[in-house]
Amino acid sequence: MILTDNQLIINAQQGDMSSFEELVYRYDRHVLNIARSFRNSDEDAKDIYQEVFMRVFRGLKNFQFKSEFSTWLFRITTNVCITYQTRKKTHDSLDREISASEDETRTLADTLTDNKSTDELTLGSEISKYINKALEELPPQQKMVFTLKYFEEYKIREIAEMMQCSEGAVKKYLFTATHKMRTRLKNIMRDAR
Amino acid sequence: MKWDKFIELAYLFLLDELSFDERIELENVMMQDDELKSEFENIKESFEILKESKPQVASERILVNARQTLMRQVRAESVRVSFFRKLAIDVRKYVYENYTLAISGLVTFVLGIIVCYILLIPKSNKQILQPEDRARLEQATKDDVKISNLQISQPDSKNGEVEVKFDAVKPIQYKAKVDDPAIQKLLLASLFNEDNPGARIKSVSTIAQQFKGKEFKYDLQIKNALIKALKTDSNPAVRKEALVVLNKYPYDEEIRDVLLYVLSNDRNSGMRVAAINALTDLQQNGHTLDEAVKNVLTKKAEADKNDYVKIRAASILQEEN
Repeated sequence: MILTDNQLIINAQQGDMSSFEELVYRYDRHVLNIARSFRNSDEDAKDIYQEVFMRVFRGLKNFQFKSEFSTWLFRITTNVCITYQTRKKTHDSLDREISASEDETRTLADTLTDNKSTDELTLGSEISKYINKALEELPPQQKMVFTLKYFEEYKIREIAEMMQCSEGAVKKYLFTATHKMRTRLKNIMRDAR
Repeated sequence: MKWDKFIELAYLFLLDELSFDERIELENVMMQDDELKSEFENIKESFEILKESKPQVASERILVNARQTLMRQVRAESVRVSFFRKLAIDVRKYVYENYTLAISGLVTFVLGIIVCYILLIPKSNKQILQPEDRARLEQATKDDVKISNLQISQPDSKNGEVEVKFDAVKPIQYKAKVDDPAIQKLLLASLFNEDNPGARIKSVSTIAQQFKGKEFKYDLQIKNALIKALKTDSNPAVRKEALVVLNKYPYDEEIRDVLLYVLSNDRNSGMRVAAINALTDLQQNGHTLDEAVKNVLTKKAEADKNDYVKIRAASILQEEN
């Protein structure tokens, strides 16, 4: 018999580890994918995954069934992702100040004007690389909305619920992020031509 | 249609967030305007590129690895939590079963001490001054302040500082009539707190001064203080002075009782003589002596160590009969 989320939660609240495990396995792929899309890194995604589910484990005994478990879980996921991004950004910027590498300062135009031909450069992957770099520069909330919409294909209504904000706010983040990304993309494409 | 509005609708169209009617409306607008249509194509191209840039999905290996790590962490944490919870339950059970009475007694005792401390211990007026408070120290010790109880600590070997504790007492002069409430309060304080018997006698005799005043009002507080001094003061001269002053109060049961107390209990024969003289005076002034007085006088007439007391007691009883 398949237990509902709420039944699994009640069991887990009473100390049943297998119920907690089953609850995790129902949703953890989504959590990992969101984290992976958001950070574009396996290691970061694993870190976010651990933090999200440890928070769930600690908070589960106080879960009061006022919302769906999935809503609560994805809310934690977006929060952890945003916090992680902010933390990481501070850390990375310190690292960059210490040792700036030449590769990071190279533009796509530099790459494209090397002696190699355009075909050899696998343009698609280069563009992806620069798009991801541009994504990194978005504020965490904008990046979160962009990731959830473009890569994970959630509806605006669902994103608003996850991020505990209005649909209007989500649209605003989305339009701003899209506009910035398009501007960046235009520059990249112009350089490429 | 405004340009910004068109862009937003185009975004929503490509993100599959428009209703059927909105889609039709947008398509109609584009069919009528080539510029908008061209822009829409640009946006569409951008969106395709952006979507193609989607990061790779997490592999199964990463997921399995993350699950294993998580479950290890969760088990470690739940063991840690259950250990402390179990320990707390065991301790509570052990205490409840074996030491309930002792612990409740101890708690009551501690609470009692705290309450007594709060209620009974007077707050210290001690001032702790630092070198920067020198002006306050000088102010407190200037003029005719009397310094006493000086205690000096050993100098600190590191910085050479010493700590000095002392009482700085400033004499105060106050002039008023004997029956002034403040004067009476000070006299009573002196009667009960002064170590010097001479000072206590002086206090009682000063209290007696008020009887010379024409408008003297008998003060119950003074009377009670004199009775207490007569019963408890260690110095016979003070007790004697208190008895003399009490004799000036109107005779009542309290005066009678304290005279009988002195007659029965005071080891000083002079005090017993003074007490029996007081009773003699009362009799001569027309006061009838009740049974309680007669009983004590009977005992004194038979067994007092002092012959004067014996004779006077017998004499009073004879006259009374």
